[in-house]
Amino acid sequence: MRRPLIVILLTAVLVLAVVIAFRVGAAESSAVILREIRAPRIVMALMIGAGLGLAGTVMQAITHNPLADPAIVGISGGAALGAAAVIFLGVGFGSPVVAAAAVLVALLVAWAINLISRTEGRSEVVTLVLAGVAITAFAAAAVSVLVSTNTSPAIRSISFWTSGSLALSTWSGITSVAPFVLVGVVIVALISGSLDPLSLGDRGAQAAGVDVTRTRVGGLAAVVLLVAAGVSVVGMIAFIGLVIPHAVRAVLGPQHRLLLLASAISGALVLLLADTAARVAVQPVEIPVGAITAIVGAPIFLVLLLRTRAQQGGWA
Amino acid sequence: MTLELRQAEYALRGRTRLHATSLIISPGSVTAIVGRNGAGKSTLLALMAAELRPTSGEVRLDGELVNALSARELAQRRALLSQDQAVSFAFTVRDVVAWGRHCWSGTQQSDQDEQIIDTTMQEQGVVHLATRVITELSGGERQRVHLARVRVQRSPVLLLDEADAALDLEGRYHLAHTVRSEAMTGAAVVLVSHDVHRMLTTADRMIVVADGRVVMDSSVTTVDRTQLAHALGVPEL
Repeated sequence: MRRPLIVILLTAVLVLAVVIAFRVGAAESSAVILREIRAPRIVMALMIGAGLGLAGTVMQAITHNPLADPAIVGISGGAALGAAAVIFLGVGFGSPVVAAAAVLVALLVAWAINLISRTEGRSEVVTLVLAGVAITAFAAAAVSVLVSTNTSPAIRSISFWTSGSLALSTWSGITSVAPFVLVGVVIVALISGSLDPLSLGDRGAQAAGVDVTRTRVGGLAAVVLLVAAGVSVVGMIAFIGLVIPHAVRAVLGPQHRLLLLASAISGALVLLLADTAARVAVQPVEIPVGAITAIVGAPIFLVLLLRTRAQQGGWA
Repeated sequence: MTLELRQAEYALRGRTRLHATSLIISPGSVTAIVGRNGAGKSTLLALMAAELRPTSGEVRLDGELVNALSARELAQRRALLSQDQAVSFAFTVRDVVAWGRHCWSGTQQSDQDEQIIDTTMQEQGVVHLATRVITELSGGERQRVHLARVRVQRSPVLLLDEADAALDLEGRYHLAHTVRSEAMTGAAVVLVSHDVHRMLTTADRMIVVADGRVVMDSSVTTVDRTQLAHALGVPEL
């Protein structure tokens, strides 16, 4: 079959990208820099990128909405607020407590959007997106109040982090985030078999024997775990969760088992490439990787949006 | 499998959508539910399908309370098809039909998945569409695919909620044929439809719902057409 071959090819490209990312950079890179700065940064990019790819795919499946994305519905914004709040209270950046706080607030957001956007068992596409706009605006404003009223150096590093950057990746940051991401991956594996028939819509899927509530609650929890802990360390990186599933679906088709695997690999690849570009494009300064993913991702998303709409004849 | 409503009633926000209703639907029969829009036909069907929980009374399938069964257990016992079912992503026709086997995954019955899917797609005349993308099909073709999907569930109860609404004459003829052959093999089939004339030739029994009540329940061979027309709000049929 051709499709598994594409996944193998993607994996090969990813390995190549890791090697390249490790090699390029400042000329005087010492062994210490490679081990303590560049290596954790690469690992973090792979982990966060894979999580974003997976989370976007799950989010789109459980909301039946090709426009859904953890950042758009407000989950990432909630995570940023949770992280900023405990950093404000004096907890060190990159600690597991910050990751846990991010996850907690993001869970609250996920629970709230699930309530707000559902009437009589149906998920409303427009309400979901607009609720996300409101939550993101609120969270961003609250973070900005926290940052501007605080003079501690820890909170200052947040300004770097609000635009999304992997520059502060450390091995300890990775060990704070990894457990959450791992649990998220396990939940995705558990519900992955129900995601295809879920495309019938909640009512049709339930009639066909899918436990829709379990799949949706599990899916939302997985999205939060995959994204929120990462946000606490690298900030909000938009468009990967939105664009990757579309791009992969266009090549491999919509079947979720393969789509999930390929989205994870592609998310890792794209974030790693974007971060490498962020590091070396305009040396010695660095561009926030979140800016790169948005600059590249937003136009791609628009093209995908128009093409998918044309193919589907609009979405119900 | 016998489906039984015992004094089943459904109310939503203080308004009774269906007054206490008792019915027995037997295996090997086709029952048509007819009535004007908003009469309570779909509520009655949704209670049978366990999509709704009766606010009083109960619904049983072979003695088991339907609302106590899991989604999966329900799907093994009854299939439900609504009018023009939308699919979110560009899945192929064969993918969609195969979802009908989802409720049997991990059981012994799943050994026959491929064979059941193949024969059912043949019976429904959708084999030539197998690799086509469902979202690109016409309404009639889509409905045939979904009919194939609910039939591969191989459930002894088949519930169709205005499944003929998007179908042309050929499609309705075909649906009627499918429904008859399902009943012949022992299924209990219930259809909600506005196509009263076709139901008179397709169904064995006709239930008329008006203002949230079953106002007529009769065999189609002995149905009083004047009374039926009256219950449906038209001068004649």
